[in-house]
Amino acid sequence: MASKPFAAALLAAAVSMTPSFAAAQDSIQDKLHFSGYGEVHYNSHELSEEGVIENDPPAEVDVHRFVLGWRYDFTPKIRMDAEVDFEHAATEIELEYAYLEYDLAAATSLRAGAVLMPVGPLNEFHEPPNYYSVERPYVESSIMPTTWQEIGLGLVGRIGGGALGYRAYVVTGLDASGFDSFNGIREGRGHGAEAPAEDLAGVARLDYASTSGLSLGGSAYYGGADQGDSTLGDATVTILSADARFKRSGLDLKGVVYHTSVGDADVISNTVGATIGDKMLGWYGEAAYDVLRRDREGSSGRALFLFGRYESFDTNESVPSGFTANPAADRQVVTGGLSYMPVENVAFKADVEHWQDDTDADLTRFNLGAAFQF
Amino acid sequence: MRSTRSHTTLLTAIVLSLVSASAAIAGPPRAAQAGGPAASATEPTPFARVYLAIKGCTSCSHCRTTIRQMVNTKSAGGETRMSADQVEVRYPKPGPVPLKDVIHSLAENRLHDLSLVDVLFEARGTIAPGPNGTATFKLAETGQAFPITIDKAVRRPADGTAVRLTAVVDGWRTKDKSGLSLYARTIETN
Repeated sequence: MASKPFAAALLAAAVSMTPSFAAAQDSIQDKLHFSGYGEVHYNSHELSEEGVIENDPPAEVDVHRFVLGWRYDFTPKIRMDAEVDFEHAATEIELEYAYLEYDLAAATSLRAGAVLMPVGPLNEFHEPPNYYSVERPYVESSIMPTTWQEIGLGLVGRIGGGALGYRAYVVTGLDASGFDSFNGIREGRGHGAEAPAEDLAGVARLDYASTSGLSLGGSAYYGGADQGDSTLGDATVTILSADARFKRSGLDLKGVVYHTSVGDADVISNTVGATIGDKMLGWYGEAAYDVLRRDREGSSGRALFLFGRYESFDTNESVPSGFTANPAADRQVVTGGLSYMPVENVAFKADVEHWQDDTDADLTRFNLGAAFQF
Repeated sequence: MRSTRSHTTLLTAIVLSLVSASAAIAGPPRAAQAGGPAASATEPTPFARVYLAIKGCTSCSHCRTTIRQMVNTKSAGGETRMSADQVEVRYPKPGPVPLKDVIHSLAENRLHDLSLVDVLFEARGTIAPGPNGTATFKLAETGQAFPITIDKAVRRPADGTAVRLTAVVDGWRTKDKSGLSLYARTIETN
């Protein structure tokens, strides 16, 4: 296999140097655009798949994400946009998103395909230089299952001179047979891979941005989740989320809350053999400051963000009658560290996390990361 | 997480990446950086074009859509095209170009990390003398006019000659943006 990429590189280089192809390349260059991002991590203690605190787990290194994306403009109003995620050094391959977008009006576009769910502030803006920590906030893993994509269609737009953005989609519903005690609804995602489509869901987000640096957002999701499987009852999932951010003068303050309700959680719990919370709650607050003040006129373009974050999340916030909440599902994480950005789209990160749960188990770990996007 | 190992997918991705990267390397330099727009081999030259050089917020698909929509709402029918570091608004046929509004759509944007860096304007028109020894560029068929500065290094054609002008747009960084002016980069006569 190793010789094939090399041969492809030679072929691409030869094509690019052949004069007779120059005109065709101009056309491709106009229409085809390339993007990507990636991150490499070192964790002094690896975390369990479920995000549960374990006793002295070993250190780990991981090419966590390497994502390649392409956009092709069929016309100025119709385009395809897609990303493929080669996770964990390309041992897991996932379609991040792939959709067609058609501009219906100046500020309204139709999207159809595998779309990123517009729930919370991170899922659609998940590129690693966009967050300061080595790992994404854990609330946005255990409660809000980023990166979350479903197949569907809907409208995307921005009105009021760019102040108010909206997204509204009808998408495939979750599959409750994948729900568990600690990861909540995470493994119920369809990933667009021959996913069950008996149940649909509706999802919408509104976000407001002021010129002063304040932005506010709210999201709602409701859908069926039994996918026609009678052993899951009439499973439903409702997610409500709100977020606020203030970014100005080097300061970046953020607060996010997610609340998830699961209908027929008792039936699901019996079927999957684990206690599924009928209510799940997660929130975090984060403060960061750029000591190099990249935002200043005439700055070097470098940034050094110092940040701190407190997270609390419980996938068993409330459980169906007859079931017992697992105290290990009620977790708090304090993270503090720095992110140095020599240019806008490259970040070198270091942080320390302290985990604690309601069984009084705790874990402190040190993380290093290098991240980019283009 | 559902996953599969797929060497074919990986190979396809690498080949596509290399082809698009080599096309970008071999292609002409960006307009705003190199002093002139890249000629397209497949499409007729439009009546006018506005190039908005930007930085930040173009790596994610959602921001790209937002940027395109913000420009669309102010472009009065111009065709908006995006690349990694610039937005191009094309006006295929003669008509008024809302230059101030197009610039304003990105200069005063509310995205968390998007900056307008430079603006280039290209159009058909004529150059005419202005008051006190100044010059004015008038768009063909519309009469829309902008004050223009022509450096000695750029050959100024006879007044009234039909030209295709490429110019840096100045004056948009001020708060009211009422005083847009042009600084000629190239002036081509037919």
